[in-house]
Amino acid sequence: MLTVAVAIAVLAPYLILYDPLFYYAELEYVNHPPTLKHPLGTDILGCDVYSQFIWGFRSALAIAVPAALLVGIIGTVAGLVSGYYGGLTDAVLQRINITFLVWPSVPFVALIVYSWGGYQARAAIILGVAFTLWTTTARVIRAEVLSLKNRPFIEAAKVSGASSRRIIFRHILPNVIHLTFLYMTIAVASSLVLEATVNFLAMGDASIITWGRMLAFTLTLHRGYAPWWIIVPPGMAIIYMVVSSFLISSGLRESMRITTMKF
Amino acid sequence: MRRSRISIFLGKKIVGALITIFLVMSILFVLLHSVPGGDIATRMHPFGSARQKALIRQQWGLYKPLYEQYAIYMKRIFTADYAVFRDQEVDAMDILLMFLPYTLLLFGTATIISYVIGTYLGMRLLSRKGRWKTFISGTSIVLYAVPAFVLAVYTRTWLVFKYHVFPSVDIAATPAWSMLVNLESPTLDQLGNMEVVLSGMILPLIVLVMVGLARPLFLMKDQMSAIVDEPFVVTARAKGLTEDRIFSRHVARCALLPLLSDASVNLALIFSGGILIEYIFNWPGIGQIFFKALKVMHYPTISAAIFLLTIMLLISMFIVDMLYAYLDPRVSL
Repeated sequence: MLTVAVAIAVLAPYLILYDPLFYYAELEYVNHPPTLKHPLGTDILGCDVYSQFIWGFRSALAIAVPAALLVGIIGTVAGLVSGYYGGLTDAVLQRINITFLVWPSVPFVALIVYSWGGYQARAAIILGVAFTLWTTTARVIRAEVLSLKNRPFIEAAKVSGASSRRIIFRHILPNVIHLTFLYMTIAVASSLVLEATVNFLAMGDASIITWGRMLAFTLTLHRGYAPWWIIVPPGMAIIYMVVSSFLISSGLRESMRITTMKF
Repeated sequence: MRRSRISIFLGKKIVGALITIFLVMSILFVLLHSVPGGDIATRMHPFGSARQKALIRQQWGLYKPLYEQYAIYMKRIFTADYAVFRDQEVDAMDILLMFLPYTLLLFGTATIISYVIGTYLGMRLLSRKGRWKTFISGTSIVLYAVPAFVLAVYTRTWLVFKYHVFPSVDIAATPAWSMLVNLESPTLDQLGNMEVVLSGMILPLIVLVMVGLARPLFLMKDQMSAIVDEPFVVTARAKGLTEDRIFSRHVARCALLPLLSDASVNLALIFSGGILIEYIFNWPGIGQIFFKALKVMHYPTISAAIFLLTIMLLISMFIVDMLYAYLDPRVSL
């Protein structure tokens, strides 16, 4: 399912019929039901919905995938360090973890986007999403490291004089990397939702065409009652992407035989 | 002995919570100060005269170096002093506290209902086989994947505006909020207000329950399938208990505990999702006010809202932790 999305995102410049930001000023083209010329109609600004819908795959993947990668990296490193060293390091990192956990996610991303201005909105959204989502990954990896730490092979490595950096990255990391991949697939789904949410609240960048931005007008310009061709395509696309990454993660989970997990 | 242990546990938790609040507000300070576009005074009082702005700058210490500003900000946060001017009677925190009962009403009810239904379905899913099982687990996967706001926009568009299944009530526009101010002498008029609130609450409640249902359900299912192979279940079966009784009495009770420990993480997600649902359904809660303050960057309201949300979250996480320690004898305080 995700391959289709990636293919659409890659081929987006060839699939769109119009420039997604191009709009008609004439009233008869505004908010028009689907026709042959515009397969999904036009929205309230006079833009072609189909082109925005296709272009949305591109921006969704361009935000969700780097965010998930960052979540994996930050979460794994924080989990490894706090699980292996323990003591004060662990306490400090756990406190930071809880801090980011209790920060309400949407305002956090919004404030990062605000403070970076419109110049780096995409990077700001990626960073904000990654900062809010790394906590669960770090917790799970920390728990796994704690149980691995007392195994004989770690002690053997310690006795043979390996430095702690070598133990962490050569001996413990290969044993927890599967969890990183699992939580990265979950992070793709969560970051898609969070990114769509921020754009839906019009707190992201208005010049990036995303599904959240397409849905945002339903509350502001349509006053709640929008026609179906405006709300169905972006909503269904978000659901499609999230379900596909969710299915990948549950498949991964079954292949790893992890019975219990936290999201 | 046990008493002193409890007090040590309490002390540790409280110190941890204070540090967490401090860190949260420090991050907020950094973020608020890195937002471009002039200093705080203009944002706090956009149409104020130069003299008023000078007063604000002086009271919030904006003439001083950054570390002193930080100290003043922290002092104001922890003494709950969010007034723009010193003689202001109603500050940001008072407004937020006035709307807090609405948020608690909606989200408290939704969380409890979704946990009850979710655990019940999760319990039944494993014991009953057949079409229902696949149907419910498939539906809840889709529901888990649907972002809350997509569901909310869809239901609001079709069920409220197009087919009029639910009444279209604008709670924020009705005088219903006066109900909160005058609780000492409830009149018939205020009961009518309650009706308005409840009829407006149905749809957000349904949306929140649908979204929140999947998580306890999946967790319950996973936990139960992990526990089913344990020896004590075999013992119960060997005693000749019925399958229903084994599941409800022996397996489900054991599986409830991880659900509780997960709830503390889940609460964070529920609180941060609150803004959205309140904004879409125009529910007059703290999320709505917070959102409006974020749009215009009204610093005192943002700080007060983050402070309030953090405290609420920490208190509820603390209650969950205490419950966990109380219910599970293996965990000592």
